[in-house]
Amino acid sequence: MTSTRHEPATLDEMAATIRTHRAAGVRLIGAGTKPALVGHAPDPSLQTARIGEILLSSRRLTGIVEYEAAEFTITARAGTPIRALDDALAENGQSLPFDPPFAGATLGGAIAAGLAGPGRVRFGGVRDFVLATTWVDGHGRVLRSGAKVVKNAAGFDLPKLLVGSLGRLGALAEVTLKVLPRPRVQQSARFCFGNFTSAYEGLVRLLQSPLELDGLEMVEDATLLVRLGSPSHASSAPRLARLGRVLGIPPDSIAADDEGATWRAMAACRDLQPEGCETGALIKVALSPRRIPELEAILRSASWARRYSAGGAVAWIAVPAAHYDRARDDASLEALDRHLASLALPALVVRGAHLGEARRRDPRLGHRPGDNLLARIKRVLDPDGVLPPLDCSPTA
Amino acid sequence: MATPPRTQPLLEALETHFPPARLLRAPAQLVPYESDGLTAFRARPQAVVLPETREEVIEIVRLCHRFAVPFVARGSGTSLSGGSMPIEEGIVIGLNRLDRILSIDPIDRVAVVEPGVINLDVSEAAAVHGLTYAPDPSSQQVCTIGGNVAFNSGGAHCLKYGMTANHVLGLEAVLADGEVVRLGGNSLEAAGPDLVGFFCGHDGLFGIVLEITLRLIPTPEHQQTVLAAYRSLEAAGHAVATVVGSGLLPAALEIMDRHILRAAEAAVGVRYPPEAAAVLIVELDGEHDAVEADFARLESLMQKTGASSLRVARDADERAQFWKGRKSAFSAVGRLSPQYLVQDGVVPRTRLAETLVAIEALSEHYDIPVANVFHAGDGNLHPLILFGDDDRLAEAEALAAEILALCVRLGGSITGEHGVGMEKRAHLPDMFGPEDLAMMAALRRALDPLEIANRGKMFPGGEAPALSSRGPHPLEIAGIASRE
Ligand SMILES: Cc1cc2nc3c(=O)[nH]c(=O)nc-3n(C[C@H](O)[C@H](O)[C@H](O)COP(=O)(O)OP(=O)(O)OC[C@H]3O[C@@H](n4cnc5c(N)ncnc54)[C@H](O)[C@@H]3O)c2cc1C
Repeated sequence: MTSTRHEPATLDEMAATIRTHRAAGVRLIGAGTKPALVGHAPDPSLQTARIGEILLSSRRLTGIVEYEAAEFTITARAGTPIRALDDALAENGQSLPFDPPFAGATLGGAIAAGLAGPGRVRFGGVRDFVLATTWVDGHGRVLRSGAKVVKNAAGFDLPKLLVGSLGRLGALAEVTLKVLPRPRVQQSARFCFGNFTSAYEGLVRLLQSPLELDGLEMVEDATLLVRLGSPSHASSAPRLARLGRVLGIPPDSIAADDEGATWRAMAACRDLQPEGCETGALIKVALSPRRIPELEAILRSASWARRYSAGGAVAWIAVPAAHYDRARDDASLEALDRHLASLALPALVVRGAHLGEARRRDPRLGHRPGDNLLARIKRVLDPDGVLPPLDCSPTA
Repeated sequence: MATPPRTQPLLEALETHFPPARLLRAPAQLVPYESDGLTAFRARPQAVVLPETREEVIEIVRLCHRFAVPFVARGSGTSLSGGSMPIEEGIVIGLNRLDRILSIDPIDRVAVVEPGVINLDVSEAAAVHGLTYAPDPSSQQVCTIGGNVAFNSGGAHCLKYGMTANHVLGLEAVLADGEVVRLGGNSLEAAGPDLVGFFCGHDGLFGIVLEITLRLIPTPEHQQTVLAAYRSLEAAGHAVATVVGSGLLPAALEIMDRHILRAAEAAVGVRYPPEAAAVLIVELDGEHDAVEADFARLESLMQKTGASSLRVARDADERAQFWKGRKSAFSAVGRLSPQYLVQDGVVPRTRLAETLVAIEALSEHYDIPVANVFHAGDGNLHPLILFGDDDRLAEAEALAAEILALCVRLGGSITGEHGVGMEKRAHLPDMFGPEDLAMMAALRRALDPLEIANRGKMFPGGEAPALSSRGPHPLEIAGIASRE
């Protein structure tokens, strides 16, 4: 039951592929760094694709289409690697403000997955920076939504709808993003609290303070990792000292040489899934600071690796593959699903080898607000289920 | 529409739910609802119903659906695009009585509010926690959060902080066929499609928003504000590109041209450099030390933009003075010309200077003065077409249409924050192709099969006449707010 892979090189080819293979069904992939989201297992023997199903990769749909640095907007094709985009922006002292966590991903994959890295604490998430999209829906129609300027109130906001759409509503071909200056100087420090409660209180204090942080992560051993950025070459030392005063403990500064690498590792969740050991599932929970203690209690008892990211807007959890099944009930993926649902927290399996059929169909876990609206939208954009399904209940 | 509206049975059904004081039928009671901020045009609805709870709103919408009668949700009726203008064969659902702030959570930094809550009241309620609600339309003393959500409204400080949609984390709404949806929550993030973002800016076409979870931000601890004068509007436009291109992130970056300056001087007694053909207000806010460091850079940058003078606000009073001229600009313009049209197009920021030159040329060509006061940092224009008296309305509309066409040609938008509403429906196809429009119409029908929610708005065609905005809004005459 292998499926065929198509790699269109133009927008028209992409649309034609979807139209031609409507009966077979089409799964969209970027670089394939997040197989769980695609619902496509990397191991062909485990593939659940329907017979003859097409894997539509945007891998060859690459390149920057428009980039005027002074405008702070960039338009690129969906298959452009995030890394390439970031390099082009860096040449002009700019960067993607939502800090996409997986540099190996494609632009389309990053938008469709809706994932932001630690930097989102300062400037916002993917939804805050997507201005316009060229895309193909389940009918195979080429659509152009939004406007390539930083402000627009004309028409429905389809570009936002496609953020996090997981390849279930349409295929992204081109995306216009708002970008921001890359901070010239960044300095970071650790604040080690010794116990969870004090670290959590410190996090809340920082969030309520007028301090503008470029990064605020709460790592497992009751440590806050804090980043300060500045567009000027002014030293951050006084601001770091001020942080120490707010938190009541002195900062443990991170050497300038290690600073960038530390945050790149955080973004890619290397603390939870070391390079080369990406077995098991990586899960994103959409969180708010108030809910951290409740979630922490559950995760601690299951002893899963975890981090509270971007000022508590996200929890990242690593679930070892050995825990997928129901053998150890309280620590299974199914148990996590139930816990998250009871806490009304939405979550997503972002990476995960050897997931079961159901998880590959719909990688969402826990709470699913608005599924009745989503079902209606899906019926308009992909009525025949050409793209993979979302398990959203039809209108009650 | 397949089903003809059955207004009489709807009104009879509403009578069993609502006392006469909340179901307005008499012509005299309906007059205040006949128009919105697009003041020159009116339509009298069959009735205005004033619910007080979310359950009542849901019941009304279900009845409207049952009897196929169109409805228009209305907050404070300050829409500048005719978005809340009534439909003659339908009813208006007035939401001002759903005005409770349900909760404020200082840890999650959110406020949960009903749709009729006034924008400014959110910041006032959050202030005790050191928090504020960032989107600040100039109508913020009167406009409602429900209206802001419908249009994805903006304001001067949206340059740094983003529009309404960037500050809405969750919402509950009743779709036009009566089903209730709850989207998002307290998290800044989601897992799955951004349904909340999709719902913002729906122009009132999906249904009625019942409850909104708003993101609050810590009140910035420090500001620096500078006022720079230029000898030409074009030079000011270039200065905007310089500031934007520098990588500094001002909280606000606004332009006023000579028409506005003279009008503001006469109206509120502020003084601007006499040689100024345009003035730029640039404001930085945030952490004290960071603002000071950035401000040093901004000052030296501004000196290189060819400003004829630079003034830095020495204290909060002087800062308030700078903003007073800006905020009163629209009402002040009423002194120059009682009749004017307001446009809301957007152009790329690097094309601002040439756009302003082109607008000046159009103004000369039509021999109608055009005043400019707008959100320059976002490239969001607000040309005020001062056409003097009624005989020149047609020419003024032609001039307005040319400005919109120019915005689209430069790769921009026909509206940055006022919404399409009724006024700009004819221009929506300038931005979107037939398939895009068909897809949007299909989405709308999926949420509103009978097309009863704000029928006749946003999409081209439909029954209503072409409209334009003329003259000061009653609120401006009362000095409460100004259009921008
Ligand atoms: C003097 C003045 C200054 C202004 N300044 C600005 C500015 O700086 N920036 C800016 O962006 N706009 C500005 N505006 C425009 C206007 O204030 C905004 O569009 C505002 O958001 C409208 O709010 P409202 O409560 O008056 O809504 P209304 O005018 O009553 O309604 C606006 C739209 O929202 C819909 N609606 C209202 N409530 C709901 C609900 N609960 N659910 C679903 N749909 C709903 C209506 O049907 C309508 O389509 C200004 C207007 C005036 C008159």
